[in-house]
Amino acid sequence: MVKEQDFYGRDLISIKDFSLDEVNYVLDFARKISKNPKKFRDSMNYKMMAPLFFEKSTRTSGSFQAAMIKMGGNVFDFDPDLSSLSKGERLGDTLKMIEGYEPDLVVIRHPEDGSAKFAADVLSVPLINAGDGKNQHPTQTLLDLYTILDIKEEISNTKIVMAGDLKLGRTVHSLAESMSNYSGCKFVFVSPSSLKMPKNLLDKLNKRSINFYQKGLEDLESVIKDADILYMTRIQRERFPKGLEGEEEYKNISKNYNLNESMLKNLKPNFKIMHPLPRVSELSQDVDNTKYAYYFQQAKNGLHVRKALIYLLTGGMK
Amino acid sequence: MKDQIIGYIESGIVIDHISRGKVWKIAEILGVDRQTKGRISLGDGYETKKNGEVKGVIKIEGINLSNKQLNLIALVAENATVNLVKNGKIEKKFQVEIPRLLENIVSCPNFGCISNNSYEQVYSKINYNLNKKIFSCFYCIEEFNGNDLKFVY
Repeated sequence: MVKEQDFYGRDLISIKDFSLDEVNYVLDFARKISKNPKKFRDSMNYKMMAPLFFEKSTRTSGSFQAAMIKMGGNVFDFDPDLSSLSKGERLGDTLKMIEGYEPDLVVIRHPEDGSAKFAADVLSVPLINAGDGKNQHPTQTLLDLYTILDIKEEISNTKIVMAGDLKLGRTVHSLAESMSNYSGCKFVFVSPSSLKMPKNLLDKLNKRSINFYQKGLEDLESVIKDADILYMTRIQRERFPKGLEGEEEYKNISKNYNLNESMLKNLKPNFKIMHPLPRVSELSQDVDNTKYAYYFQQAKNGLHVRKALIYLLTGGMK
Repeated sequence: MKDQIIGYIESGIVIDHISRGKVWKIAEILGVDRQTKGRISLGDGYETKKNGEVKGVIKIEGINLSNKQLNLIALVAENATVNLVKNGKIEKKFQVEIPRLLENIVSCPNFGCISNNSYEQVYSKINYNLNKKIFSCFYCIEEFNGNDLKFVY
């Protein structure tokens, strides 16, 4: 049985740091907070969070800060452009300086893979990874799981279509692996042939006898007919080689990847579309007003999940 | 053809049961080159008594092995055995073993990993899962097999 105090003082670097029961506990706790935010509005009084965003981020950073402030806590103001980092200070030294200010929690986003684990190794206070390079982004996975739960009351037995850049998109890797821990989930991976799910992830799903199949972008409209959720990701220009050839390849792929209102026919009544945002051309704005659009609610859910994590890792009312 | 296993040493090391073709890499790990004094024998392609597999053997006079070298040898030839020889007798014999945590011995193959950023001076830490025979970076948790390892000398 997982208990509230099991989380106290821990770090969250990767979703794998939590057992399945612990993940479910966090999701339940987030729901509890969302239903009764007033109960938690003073729970972070006199506590301070240090959000160390070494990369620009509006959504994640904003969501963490709002979560802390709405629970009565304080947020340490950190700007990497104004810090000694711009004078060439090493990350390890910056972290030790920050620790001297006695934060109760550190949230870090950094462009290098493994930087969050490195920071956790240096710091003695709890740390949440808000994205380390192309590596891990566990709070995104938790808010995605929370959103699925929000949509259909269970994560098990979900048929999900994941579309877009499945090769390099960390959110889809982490979500697929996490969902495979729940029974009866089915996956359809829709991508251009050059951006398919990595083989090691497919091998893991195969080993667990998970039901999945792969399709091309042209099949998007047909595969969503019997799905519960369509999880879209954008295809990033920077993933293609620089120069004209890369530009051509990117344009060819992205022109065939677009979901618009006219494609949303004969769907399951409770079908929903998720997207970690920002979107580019893959998701038309005319979808926003349909009952299937759920991506803005998904982004909103980040607040509840981050509140839950901040509360649990810092020991809540203590 | 019966093999005559290579030359005698008085004191030093004998590394036996080296996988075929790995003798030269191990010589490199041991820092053996033309300047090395004392007797050196490198042999490869010997048939083993057990199952007819072929193996390599190295004998070097007058050297000691560091822990780091032992770990590197284990990474190159997991089944190798080391004999420490003193006054013509084997004083100690043991099989090399890949440690569960390799610190600053091999680098993470993920170029984007913070442990490869020389400016940050983060020493590499690689975990080894003996059952799965898989390596993973302590920092970026990327998993990889032994062929992707790069040694830090």
